[in-house]
Amino acid sequence: MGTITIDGIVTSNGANGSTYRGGGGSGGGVNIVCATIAGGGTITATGGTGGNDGGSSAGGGRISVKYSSTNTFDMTKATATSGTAKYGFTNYRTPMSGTAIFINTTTDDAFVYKTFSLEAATGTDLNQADTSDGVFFFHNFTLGDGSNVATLYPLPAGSSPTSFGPTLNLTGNLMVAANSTIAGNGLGYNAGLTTANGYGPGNGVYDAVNGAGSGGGHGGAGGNTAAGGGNGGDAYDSATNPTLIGSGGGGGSGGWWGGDGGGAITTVSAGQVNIAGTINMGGNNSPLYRGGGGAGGTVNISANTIIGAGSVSANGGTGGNDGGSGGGGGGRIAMYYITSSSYSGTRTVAGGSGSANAGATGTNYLYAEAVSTPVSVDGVAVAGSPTASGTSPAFIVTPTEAASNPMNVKIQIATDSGFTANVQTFDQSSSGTGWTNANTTPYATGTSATYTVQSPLTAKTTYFWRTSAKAPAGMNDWGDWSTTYSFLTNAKPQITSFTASQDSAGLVNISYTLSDEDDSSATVSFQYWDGAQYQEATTTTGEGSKTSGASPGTDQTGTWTGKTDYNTQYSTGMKI
Amino acid sequence: MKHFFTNHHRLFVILLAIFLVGGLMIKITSQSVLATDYTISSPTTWDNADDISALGEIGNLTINNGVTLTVGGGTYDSGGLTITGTGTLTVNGTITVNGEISGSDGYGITFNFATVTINAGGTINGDGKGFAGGAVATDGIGPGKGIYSSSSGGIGSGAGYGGRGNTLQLLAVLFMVRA
Repeated sequence: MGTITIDGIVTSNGANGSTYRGGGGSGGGVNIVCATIAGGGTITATGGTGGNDGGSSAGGGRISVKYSSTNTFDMTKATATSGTAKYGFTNYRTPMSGTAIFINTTTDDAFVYKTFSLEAATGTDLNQADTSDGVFFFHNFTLGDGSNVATLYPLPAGSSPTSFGPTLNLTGNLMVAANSTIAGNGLGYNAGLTTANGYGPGNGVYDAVNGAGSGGGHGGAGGNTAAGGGNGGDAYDSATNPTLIGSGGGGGSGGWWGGDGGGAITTVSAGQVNIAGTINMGGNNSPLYRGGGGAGGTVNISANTIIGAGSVSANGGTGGNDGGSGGGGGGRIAMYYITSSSYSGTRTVAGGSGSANAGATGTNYLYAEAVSTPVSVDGVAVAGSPTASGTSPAFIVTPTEAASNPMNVKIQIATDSGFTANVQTFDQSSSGTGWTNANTTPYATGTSATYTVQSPLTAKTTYFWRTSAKAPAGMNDWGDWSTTYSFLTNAKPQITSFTASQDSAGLVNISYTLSDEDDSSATVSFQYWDGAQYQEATTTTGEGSKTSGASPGTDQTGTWTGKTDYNTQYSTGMKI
Repeated sequence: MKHFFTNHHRLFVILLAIFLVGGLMIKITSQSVLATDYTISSPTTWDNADDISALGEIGNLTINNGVTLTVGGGTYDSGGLTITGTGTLTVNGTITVNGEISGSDGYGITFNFATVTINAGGTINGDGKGFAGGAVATDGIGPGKGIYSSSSGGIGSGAGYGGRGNTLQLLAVLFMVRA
């Protein structure tokens, strides 16, 4: 691949609608693959604008630039904006901007300086191959540069009641620069149109008595309509690990609709998340009259460090004026860091106001994540080749938490790496039996915790294991599972009751007891010291003779008589 | 199809050698390079795969200032059209790209050159050359087509592609530049 230099224009815009009522055409696509991208020109894929008298405008197109070496192109010159929004009689949505992204295929770094959508129905792996699980893998993901407005839209997938948002899974950092936004406001479940219920597991409803809509629910319940009317939508989803989008408000009478629910974004970063800009997963307001507000969505962030002073919100939308509408319930924010957080921005999950009742406040967490790190199995460090152990192995782990809250620990084993077969969980928060502290008291951060298996495992079997921790005084929920390791239940044979003596003729008599926890036999070898190094003992006269050599069996006592010329070295000069 | 060539350059290299080394035959097979440089100096259209194929192997392709090369939009080519060159694509004028469209299937144009240079004043333009918009009182065409709504006063809504739209009028063409 070579160099592409754009000092001119690359354009693939949609056409405008005809003079009256025609809709605009969407922007097209520009796909650039090269080693080096350079120049100061422009790339556009703009949607067309609808015609007068109600024609709706179109969405933007797609621009993708993948380079393997160098990028000196002005990335702010690649735009995929929508057509100019116009009001349509039946359609309350404005067209969305398209996507424009620059990806360094060597480093897996992605840059969005204008607009991009993470679509949960798709996804990409680290080779930039398409997937369909909603997870987008990159190293670093940069949204904006602080001097221009960049917007990232999280588009949901799935169906009610489990529609979810996309996940950014980063081996590096996420930068949400100042003036830039992850904008999921209104990207949740649809609202009800006029006289119709909203959508989602916490949908607001149309209340024919009052002619108004109740609020959608998610982190908090939606607001009810006026007395005698409809209930607001219920709360749902996990408070500590939310992933779902917010529900839509109920429609109102007289042609007025409710507010869409808020979208959802999950970010997992092995590095730093910098929120200098804005993350907004709010529910939409009802447009003016009688509709219920949409519920707030989800912001779920897990990172090594979190910094920045930008705002994070998942507020419920407001219900419409008059008619006794309900506001949307607040959404859910869950932000976790492992090493440190200096994040100082505002986090809000307020319920939206309604002309009758406000929605309830959602859930809002910012905690250090408890981490439990595997150390060893039966004294053998987990790093390196698979560990062998006895059938009652002792696991050592180290729990840590950046806020220094004490932690409970659990260890899970199974005979498959997916932890579906022969699963056993040893949860110290439930029972201290087998744990070094013998009770359920949390361990201080950094303390080495040991658990010894109480009921022997199956011999000669490969087990997989992992560990997790939680801090009751902190986030009080289990952190992510650790890296999975494996071990083989194959105990080492043991030599005990070892004695040695030497008679006046130089014969050395060795007595020992051999045992093996999970084998009925074992082979014993003998070595002697020849003055310079150890040598394997054989039956050769003068070097030693085995009176009962190999395979003495479990818990069998064997003897071996050898002869050495090194009369004073028998205790250290021979070994088995 | 019109061709205007101001530089027609051919390289023809054949290497064929056989060596015998200790009874082991090492064979280097023949290699030929036959490439033609094209300069577009007056309006030209390459509108289907046959036109592209007739060019043979392309070396450099240059579009002069003020001149338009139109690519695609003739006979439908499933999978789209690709113009490959071993040298440099230099755009001083305009390349207009038409979508390769048949019914609801649509493909773009790919330029695959070692180097691509679009100089100031040069343009690659696919504006409005995608799926057709709906005629009067009909839906548009394409996977993100917009819908004609007779119940709301005959309104057509905007098309969706990269962004969410609502009804299709025209979808600009998809094309690729590869170097």
